[in-house]
Amino acid sequence: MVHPNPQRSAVAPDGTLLARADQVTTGVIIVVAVAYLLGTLEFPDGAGVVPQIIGGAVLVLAIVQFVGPWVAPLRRYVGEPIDDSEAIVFTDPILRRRLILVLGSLAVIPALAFLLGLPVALPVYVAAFTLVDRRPVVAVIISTILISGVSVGILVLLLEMPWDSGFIWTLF
Amino acid sequence: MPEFLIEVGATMGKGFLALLEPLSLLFLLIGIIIGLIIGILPGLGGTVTIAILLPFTYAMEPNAALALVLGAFSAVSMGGSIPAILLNTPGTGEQAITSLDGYPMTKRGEGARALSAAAAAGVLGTLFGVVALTLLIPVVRTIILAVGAPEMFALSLLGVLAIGVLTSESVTRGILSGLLGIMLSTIGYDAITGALRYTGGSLLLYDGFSINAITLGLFAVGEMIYIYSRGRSISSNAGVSIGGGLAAQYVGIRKGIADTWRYRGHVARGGLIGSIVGLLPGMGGTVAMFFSYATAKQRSKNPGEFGKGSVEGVIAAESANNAKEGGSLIPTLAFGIPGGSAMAIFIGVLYIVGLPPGPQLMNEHLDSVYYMAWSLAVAGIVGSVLGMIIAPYVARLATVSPGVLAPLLIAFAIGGAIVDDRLAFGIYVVIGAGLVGYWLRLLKYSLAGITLGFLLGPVVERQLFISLSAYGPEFLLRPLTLVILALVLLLLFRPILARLFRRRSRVSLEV
Repeated sequence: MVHPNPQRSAVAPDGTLLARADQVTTGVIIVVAVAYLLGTLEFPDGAGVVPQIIGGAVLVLAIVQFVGPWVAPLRRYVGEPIDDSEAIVFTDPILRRRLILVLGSLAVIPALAFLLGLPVALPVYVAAFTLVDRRPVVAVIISTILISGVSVGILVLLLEMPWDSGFIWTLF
Repeated sequence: MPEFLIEVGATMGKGFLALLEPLSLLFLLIGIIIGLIIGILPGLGGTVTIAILLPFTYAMEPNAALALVLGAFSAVSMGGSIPAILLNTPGTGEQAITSLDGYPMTKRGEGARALSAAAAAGVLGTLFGVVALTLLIPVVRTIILAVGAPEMFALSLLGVLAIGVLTSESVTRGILSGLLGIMLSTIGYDAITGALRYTGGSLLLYDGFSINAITLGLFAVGEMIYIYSRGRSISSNAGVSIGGGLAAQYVGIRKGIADTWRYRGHVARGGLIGSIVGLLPGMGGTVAMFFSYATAKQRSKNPGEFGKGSVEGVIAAESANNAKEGGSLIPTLAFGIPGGSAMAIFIGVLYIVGLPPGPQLMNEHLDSVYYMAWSLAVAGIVGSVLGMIIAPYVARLATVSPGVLAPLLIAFAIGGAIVDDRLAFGIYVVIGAGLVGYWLRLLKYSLAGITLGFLLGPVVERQLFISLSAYGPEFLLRPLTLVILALVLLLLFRPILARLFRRRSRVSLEV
């Protein structure tokens, strides 16, 4: 894959995407803070003091963050609107594909670990990722050997980490 | 007084002797090499370096673990200056200031001179920072005697909020970051009351989330998603040359060292600025380098040369950048208030090796504190010399594609995330933390704030519990606690105060 230069991208960054995403994220934080505060009701005496203080503070701050853009005196607290140039990863097709690839690869790791066991899954993951990204064969081999060294040499032999052997190996 | 000095001298000697142990020296060297390599890779600085090394510290003897981490941390800035000077690609973001003059020098065929000037200034800067650290330790110890649980509570709170606010562009996002970190830390078994909190009945959450998984996820995985998806931050400039043949390079290296001596005033000022800036939480290397660079330009006989390839610019920037490491260790070790993001994670290392920061460390493990100071000093010297030697050979690492770097570091982070609790659950936590880290990074939240909140959350809770039990709510009225809480308020009302100051200065200008 050719590395794109975002500066030369034909697709302009979306001017409001991250600002909206910011609002949604703040909304999620408000919901989490409310749930967090409600959770303290079940705690025995003393165990809920700090969660109540912290949860209350998060709730107040998140509300300030949420309404800040529309309330002039709060604007200097919530800061400048988010830099929209970062939104280019969602609007530029090449960058979006890269983002999907890396996020998708993260979803694959637990499945690989379940099937092959982690010491094998990690080198397989690195080899697969570099191959999909069309890296030169030498780079694929070197990076796979490197992570195999870390995975087997350091984690298994040196640190003696216990591993599940992987579902596939139980079939044989 | 002489007895006190003898005691300090003996403890310093003990710290130095501990560093001379073969195991410590070996891990210091390994740390330096790792630091140089990671420093060279664009986009990865001291923070990611310490995050990556964190899992290994579990299985290591404390002194070896500290040598490994501090060796790497110290060498990162030298590593970062190599691509900054040779490829115009700063290894760490802050070293863009080194590129300003370093790269034009390389284009003129003076790469060796610029590198050796950066290395020599870096050595002197590191020594400056370590001397500042060493001199201030006895002073800090005296202050610490006045610190009780109420003050520790206020200091921990100040640390969490300060790092959040100072590393984020907005006050609310900065504070939210720190508080979200504290929220995360409350999940699991509560050591004070014995209650289980927010576990949802799952045994996996009984001990809460692991420091490794959270730190590696937020920093290493989040950073890799960012770097890979942007497809940049990697130098496309493969023309790595430090200028001329071997003889010319030797002349260049000698010139660089001579330049550093010639402009020793810039080194001293840079060292002082770096040490002071390092002391202030959340200020970071960029501020130190910028101040030092601006001061050097102001005092230079050739200010017009700055930005066009002035060796003075390289010297001023690098001396300040290296001096800040020693300075930032002081608040980190004494009060658990980190000087920057990397120090926030270093606090995690201190907990892992059984040396939690604070009065106990400064009073009962002073030899370990001096051991850390010596490690920084030796790593600074060895790292700079080694960096200069290997520079032309390893600078090509900066051209490594994110397509190779991202899977390697993600795989490494996943392996490291399960080292401490040895549960596959860590895989899900590190991936989740990586996604959250990437998203919150885009929205300008402070990842360092979240990490520090997570690390210091239990400290805040324990000290609050002790303070309330011992003094009741009146603990808030203790003089030192009041002063620290006033600083917290100052931090929270920073935007209003800044506006007031701006208005006043505008009025006085108009008058």
